[in-house]
Amino acid sequence: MCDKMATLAWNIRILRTKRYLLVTECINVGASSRNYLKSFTVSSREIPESNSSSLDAEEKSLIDSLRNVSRMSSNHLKQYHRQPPELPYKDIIHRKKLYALYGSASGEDARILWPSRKQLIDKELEEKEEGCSLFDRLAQIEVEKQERETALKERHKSVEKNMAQMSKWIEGYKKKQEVSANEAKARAAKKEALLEEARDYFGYKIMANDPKFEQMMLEKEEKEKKEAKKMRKEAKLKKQADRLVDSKEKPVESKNT
Amino acid sequence: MATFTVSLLRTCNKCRQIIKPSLSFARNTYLNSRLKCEQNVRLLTTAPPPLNNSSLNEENVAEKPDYPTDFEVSYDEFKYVLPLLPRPTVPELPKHATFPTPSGWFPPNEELIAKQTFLIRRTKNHLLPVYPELKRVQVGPYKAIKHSVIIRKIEGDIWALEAELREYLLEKTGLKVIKTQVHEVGRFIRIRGMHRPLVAEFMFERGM
Amino acid sequence: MASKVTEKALNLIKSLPRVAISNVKDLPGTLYKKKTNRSAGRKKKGRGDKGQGARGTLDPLGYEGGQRPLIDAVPSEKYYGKYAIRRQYPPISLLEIQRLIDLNRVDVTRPIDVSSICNTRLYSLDVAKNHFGFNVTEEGCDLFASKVNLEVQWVTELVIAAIEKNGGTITTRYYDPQCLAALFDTQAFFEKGQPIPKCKLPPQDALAYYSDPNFRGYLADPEKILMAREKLAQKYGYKLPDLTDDPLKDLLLMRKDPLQIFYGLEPGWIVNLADKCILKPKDEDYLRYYSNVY
Repeated sequence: MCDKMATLAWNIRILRTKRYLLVTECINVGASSRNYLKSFTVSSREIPESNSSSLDAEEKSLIDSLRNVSRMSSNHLKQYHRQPPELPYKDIIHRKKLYALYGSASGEDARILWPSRKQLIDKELEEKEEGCSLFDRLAQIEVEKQERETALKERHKSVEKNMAQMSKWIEGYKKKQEVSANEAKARAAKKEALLEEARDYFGYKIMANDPKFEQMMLEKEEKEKKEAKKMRKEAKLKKQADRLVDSKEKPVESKNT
Repeated sequence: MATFTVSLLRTCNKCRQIIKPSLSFARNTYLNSRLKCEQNVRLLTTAPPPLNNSSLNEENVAEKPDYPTDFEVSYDEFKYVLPLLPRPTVPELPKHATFPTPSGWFPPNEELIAKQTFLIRRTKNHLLPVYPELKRVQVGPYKAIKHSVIIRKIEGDIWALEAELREYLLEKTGLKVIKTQVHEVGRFIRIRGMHRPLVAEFMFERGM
Repeated sequence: MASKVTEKALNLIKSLPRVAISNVKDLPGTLYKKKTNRSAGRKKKGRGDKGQGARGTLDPLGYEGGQRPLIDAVPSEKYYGKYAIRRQYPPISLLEIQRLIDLNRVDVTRPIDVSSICNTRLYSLDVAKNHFGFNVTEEGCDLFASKVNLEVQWVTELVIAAIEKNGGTITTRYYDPQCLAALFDTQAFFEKGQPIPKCKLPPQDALAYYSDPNFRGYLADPEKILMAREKLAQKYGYKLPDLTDDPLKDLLLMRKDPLQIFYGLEPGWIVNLADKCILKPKDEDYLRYYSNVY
């Protein structure tokens, strides 16, 4: 054990000197200095070669740690060298991510990348439940298209039917317009006549909405009403008289007969 | 399932038989495929796709492991992945026999450029570094948009370029004033107004 | 002696009254209204006493006290109606595609699809904005001069004519958002280590388009597509190039399976970029799930 530790310590010393040599070599690039350095290494104690080649894992890690002068944390160093970091806790998402980024070097089982069997079957069942066959859906589209076309055809038909009657309808409409226009004309003429009459009556031009004119109109109406009543009465009397005459004449006729 | 070539030909690529056209491109059951010699139709497939007719048996699910029992690692198909990845850099220009190309692109004219006191380099995408800018401003109660054009990647005499460009724009647009901003340190010129096509024309005339 | 101006100014000062506290004024611009926190230490924060103003419960803009508001009363065409749930197809013109080809940004020796356009890093799609792929617009249809196999999501008749006139082929293809996300950023998708998804079939309102031979839908009958090609060539008056003896025939007739989103790769496979390999499931359940659509 003691021996081993001693050799290890020796190895470390050699490593340190080597690093030092490297640095110095970089600084003074000259044959003389290089020779001097060589002599420096040669003068050191000899180590058996087999010992240096078969380093334990422990030693290797120790040497690596000495080599690492980056002062990065171990995980950061690993990530820098594209190696999977050692995480204290890994859930399934982390594990998937590690496999995707570092491949089989991550040490994960690649099967976790797929969804679990339960998830898969659930998805499948859901799709089966919700899904509709493509043929049915295409048929549905076809049906809808047909419906739209038939609706359009019907619309066209109704339009044609109506268009056939269009000339007749236009004629009727024109007639109606004419009648109403004539009526309006007659009404206007009557009003004009009345206004003229009023002008004759009052002696000056009068507006249709004048209260005097309205009064006159009322009076006139009353007069007309009275006249009408009178006429009716007279007609009635005349009728009665006629009837009387008839009744008087009848017996005469009967006598005559 | 794989990439295949059916749609527009009536003969199969490999067996040279006449394919009866079908409703579907593929062998999917839902499409009720009537495609003949479909195995030969596939071009890029490496393995015949497993047409799985097994139906779902829910009773056995509990007994099976949580994840797939087995998987296969294949290195051959990785060649189909490579063209799918984006290129890290802008690719080199292809050699065109004549210019302009169908889309109207042409390279800078070195002879004309040598005559100028300034230089405007093309971008990494081989296009002019002329960009529109848009600024929303509030002028009193009104909201407005200020349009401007910015020219970048300018080398050489930036003031000469500005003077020449302003003259050109004044002549072409017939405006009384063209407002510009020259940034000597940032090496850009900003021009007020939507003059991008004219600026581009100006630069093409000078071989940039 | 000082200048005339100074002399004048001094004389003026002599005639002016003495500077006193009564006639000292602040310099212009130095006076300003001090900004104070007008809500600190105040109970009502300047909003008055009680009511809607104090409580911030004013009616929303356009509300007319329960009466049908003007915005509802006036009929309008809902051009942007339901825009939040409608499928969006960002445009890319034929001119832009030609420019990409001219500058070697897309590889013409392979079919051009969403992934090859997005891998240029000049165009991008966003699933969160309801993007469902590219709409190829007609700009530059006259100068388009490349023989390509194009696969996009939305086209018009003129675009199809422009591409088929040059001996190319075109397909319209639907991708569901999950597949589209995998397509427009392939690198990010492969780095996630997810299995390649199987593409869903188009929804009912898009199925008519994607099964229409006039729009070269990927679910249309190939024979009808042949006829539609001929018809379009006659309509626009160009000679349809014969594809049977074409050296690029294999390229031009390359199509994806309706479930497939990448050429040569099947749904259910996993691409590992670190090991440069592909993992294929061998389990019966998984194979069944990834190769069927219900």
